[in-house]
Amino acid sequence: MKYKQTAPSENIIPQEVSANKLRACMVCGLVKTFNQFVVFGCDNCLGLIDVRVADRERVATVTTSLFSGLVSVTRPLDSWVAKWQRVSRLVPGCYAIAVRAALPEDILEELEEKGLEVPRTRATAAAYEYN
Amino acid sequence: MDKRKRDTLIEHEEQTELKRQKNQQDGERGSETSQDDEQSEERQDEEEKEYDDDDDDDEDSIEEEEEEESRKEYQSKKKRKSSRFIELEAEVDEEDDEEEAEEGDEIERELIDDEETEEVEDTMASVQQRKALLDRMRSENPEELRRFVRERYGEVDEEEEEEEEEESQGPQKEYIKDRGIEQQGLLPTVQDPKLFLVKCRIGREKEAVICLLQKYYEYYQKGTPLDFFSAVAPEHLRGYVYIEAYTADSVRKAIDGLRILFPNTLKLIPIEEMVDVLSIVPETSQIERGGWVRISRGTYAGDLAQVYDFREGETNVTVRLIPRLDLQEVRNEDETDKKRLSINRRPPQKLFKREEVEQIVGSEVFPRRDRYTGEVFDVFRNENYRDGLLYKRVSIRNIVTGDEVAPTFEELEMFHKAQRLASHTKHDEDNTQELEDTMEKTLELSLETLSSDVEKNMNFCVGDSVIVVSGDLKNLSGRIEAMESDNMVAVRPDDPELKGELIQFSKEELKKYFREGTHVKAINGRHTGETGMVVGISGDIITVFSDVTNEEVRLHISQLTETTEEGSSKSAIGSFELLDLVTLHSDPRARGVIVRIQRDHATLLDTNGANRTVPVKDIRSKLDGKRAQALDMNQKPLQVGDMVKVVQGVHKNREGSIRHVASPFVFMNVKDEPQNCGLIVVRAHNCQGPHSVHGNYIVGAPNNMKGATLSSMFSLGGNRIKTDSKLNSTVYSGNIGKGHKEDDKLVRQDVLIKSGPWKGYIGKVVSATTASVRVELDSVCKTVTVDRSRVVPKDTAHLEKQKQPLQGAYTPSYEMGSQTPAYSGMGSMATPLHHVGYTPVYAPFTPTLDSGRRDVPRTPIHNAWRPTTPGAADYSTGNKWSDLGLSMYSPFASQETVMGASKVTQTENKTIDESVDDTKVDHSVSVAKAWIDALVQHKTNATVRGYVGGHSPDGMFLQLELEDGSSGSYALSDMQLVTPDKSDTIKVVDGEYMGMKGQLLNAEGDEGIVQFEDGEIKILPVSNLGKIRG
Repeated sequence: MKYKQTAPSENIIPQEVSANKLRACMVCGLVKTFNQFVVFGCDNCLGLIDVRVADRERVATVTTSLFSGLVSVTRPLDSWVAKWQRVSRLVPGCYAIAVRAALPEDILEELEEKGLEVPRTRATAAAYEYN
Repeated sequence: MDKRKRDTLIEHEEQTELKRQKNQQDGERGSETSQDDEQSEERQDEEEKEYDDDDDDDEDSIEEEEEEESRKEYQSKKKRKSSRFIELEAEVDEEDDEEEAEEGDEIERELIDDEETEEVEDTMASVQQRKALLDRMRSENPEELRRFVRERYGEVDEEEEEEEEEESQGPQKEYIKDRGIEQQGLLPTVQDPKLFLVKCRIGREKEAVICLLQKYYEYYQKGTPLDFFSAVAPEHLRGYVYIEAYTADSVRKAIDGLRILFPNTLKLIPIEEMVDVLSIVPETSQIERGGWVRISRGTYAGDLAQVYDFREGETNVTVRLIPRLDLQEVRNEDETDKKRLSINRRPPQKLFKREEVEQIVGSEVFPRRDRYTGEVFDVFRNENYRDGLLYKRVSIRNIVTGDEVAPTFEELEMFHKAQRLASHTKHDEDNTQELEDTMEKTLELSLETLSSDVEKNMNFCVGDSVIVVSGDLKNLSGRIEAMESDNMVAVRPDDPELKGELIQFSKEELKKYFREGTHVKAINGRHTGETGMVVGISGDIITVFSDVTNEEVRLHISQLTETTEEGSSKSAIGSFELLDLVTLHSDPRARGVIVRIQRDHATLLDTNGANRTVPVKDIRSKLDGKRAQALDMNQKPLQVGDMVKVVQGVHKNREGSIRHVASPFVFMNVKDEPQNCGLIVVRAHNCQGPHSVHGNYIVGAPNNMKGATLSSMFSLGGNRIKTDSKLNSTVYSGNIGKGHKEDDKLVRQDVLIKSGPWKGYIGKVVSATTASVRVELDSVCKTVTVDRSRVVPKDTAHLEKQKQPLQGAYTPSYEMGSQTPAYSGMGSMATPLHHVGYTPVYAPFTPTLDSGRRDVPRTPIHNAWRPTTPGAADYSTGNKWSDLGLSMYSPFASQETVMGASKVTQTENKTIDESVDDTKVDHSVSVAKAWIDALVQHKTNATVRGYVGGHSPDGMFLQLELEDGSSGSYALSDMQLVTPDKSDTIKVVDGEYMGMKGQLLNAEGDEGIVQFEDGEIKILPVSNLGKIRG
């Protein structure tokens, strides 16, 4: 609902189109460039990446370039694709169809500790499914 | 209480509350903003409590029940005040109270309608929410953060919430399972938008999807949003993307203007296929430590590699593989950065050896700790090496995994070889060791398992010893007697009891076996045709000591057969013979010498010094190198048969004769080379050819050098110099090829550049032509071409400088006959002095000269000069005499006269000095001086005849003691010398020996033979002689 009217913000559109520059958030599957993650963090998983410190290492840990397929969702709440991918309640933007990598244990624990329970999508679930 | 139930319950109550709240809010909307602060504060408190509760829930469900009442209260309060955006959902939920979980689609649809009305409110809520959240972020309190995140994402629809909690509690598997079932609920319905397939430029699918999002954003900004919901680029589908929209028209609008999409190809996807579009193909990672992969790109394309390090989620993998390093090339690159020879050629696989690299490339290889892994590697040109293998990070996109890899025995054997070489070096770090051990184990395992695979196409030959590996007769050994059919062989058992009968086996039941000491022959693989003795057996791997190479090779049993053949020392194959220089079809630029011939393969020693085994078919042609030439370090041509010495590089100090020339390389026969038929390959410019020996002689003889240099510069053409040049040319003539001039004497000389842009630089001549020389500068890393006349040899450079200002002065002395002998004695120092050696210089030295001339040959005198070289310089610069000498005495003979007179009479220099401005007087004086004591007669009146006793100060008149005893004064111009006769006592009045006295031994025409007082005999012009009293 609240995202219905939110257009994809400019920061969420991947600035690079070449596939090897893109990274997917390992929590929600949002796809942006590495630098976008560093500067703006993940727009869904707030608190996952602290944008106040440009922590590139952190970005490298919680995002991955190992993902397959790409979906750009313009109106998540209206889109069946978004629903199927379970991103209908997330911000409009590019999402991976499947993320091939799972968060390392320590990050999972850390998120749990912080209570940063952020929505898992079908894309990121896939990572756990096939591991 | 079951968690799910509990949540449903809560939801329920919330919803009723919310419904109420919404109505209330509609009324309150005006005062909403003013209440905000208060609300958020309250919310905080409430939530904190709620969270505490939640935590407790997980631990204790009884407690939870007790507290249920209070929680309900909190929840409802919270919803009422804060969760504005949840309202709609709540409202909808109210409609189908109990079934919300199953009917997700419907809810969504309902929502769409409702949302339109709530648009303004939602936006406001969203803005507020975000603002508040940012505030929280800044406050850096995890508790608060958590609350906010929860607030934002907590109120997801039931199934998701549930999943999340389950995930945090239970094992992940369970979560996944549940998920799979729930996914069913999301299947598309007729109300959902449709998917349209659109053709796309191949490889640009993801780009298209991103562009569509960008386009949507731009149109949204303009206020005319596009009517599509998503765009999909599945990984496995090339050349297509899907666009989600209600109508094809919307799709057309969306893709309009995007050149990478083709609107004509629009196609609607049936609803039942929609899910397939988003199917996730399980992609089990086949990359594991120690596993085998193949590189698919770059230099190592097709090469087998072993996974050394791989972490889940990374796109790069560290593999280890056999390096393909072309050390020669690396070295050349270092030396001349410009030209890269043969870029496309792939160097052969070769294990990395630190010593070898250091030797060839020259740079040292140090062990270094890797920046990321902390492991220690030998780093060479930014690549990590250890134990002969290259450790390389490659993208997983560039490797092939799975069954396609199929490592062959020979490939594995390379790794094993590296392992064996490394076995003695232990790694100090435990984790490294562990990793290496893993590598080793997998390698061994691979070698073993491989065996079983290879067995299937085991090449049996008649006569092979075999052992039965399966069936009733297991472990029976025998010998193959005959090949029955494709798959059957007849075996005669070794067992004496069974000896009589042939037993048939299928090939699968048999395995070759060898005993130590058996003579075997390789029937396939790299070593095909080689024979040797079995010296070790481990499983299916046989160590064979080769007859030909005297090396141990590990071969698989399938590669071997028993033989009685001894060696395979074939010396010819087809039209090619051992030690032929050949080129290849596959690599026409390669040059190699055949050093070993196997059945249908030949091993070449190529120009990189590496061995290359090629099929005979690949050998293109034999090269006749008889006339080929390569230039050695002195730019002298080398030919087949020349004896040369290697002066730099790996083979430094080795000597041998040239077998083949493949410019810029030469193949040399070296006595002490054990491999490759005694051949080594070296760059020609690292060699010193036979003529260079003489070259050194010349370099070591500065005199000659000097003479030649000066002769070219000043055209000084003394006899002696001519002789020298002749000498030089005879030295060279034997060895210098056509077109090479003596000019090359300058080559390798240190020279100074006298003029031009590089004036003052010192360097070494690298090559020379008649007109110019190439000089490698010492101070600047540069080689420049300068005019030949602009360089002088460095060791004469200082003299050269001094010579410059005096250059004009050489003319008078030039014709001095006296100089020729002086040359030889004076050596290198003479040259410059020549040019200062005119009158004025002589004058101060008169006493020395005098005595010297009379007693001893000139050499001592000249020697005495040598240390005075600086002094000479003084004369040239400070003494006015120099001017005098230059300007006044152009008729040289008269100058000599003066000098002679000064010597004899000890006339003061002043005399000359005073009369410098009168050439005629000066001339008379010098003549008059020279004539003293000589017998003269009147030119017309022969009776006036007498000895010269003196002269007037101006030299115009001579005082004669006439023969009649009287004396008189006569004008000099009227008098002439009386030509002396044989055996007369004479005095030299002109020329080099002016002033000397002696006896005329004989006279023939103009020439007279004179014996001086010191016994020396000279031939002088009679006109220069005056008769004196005996």
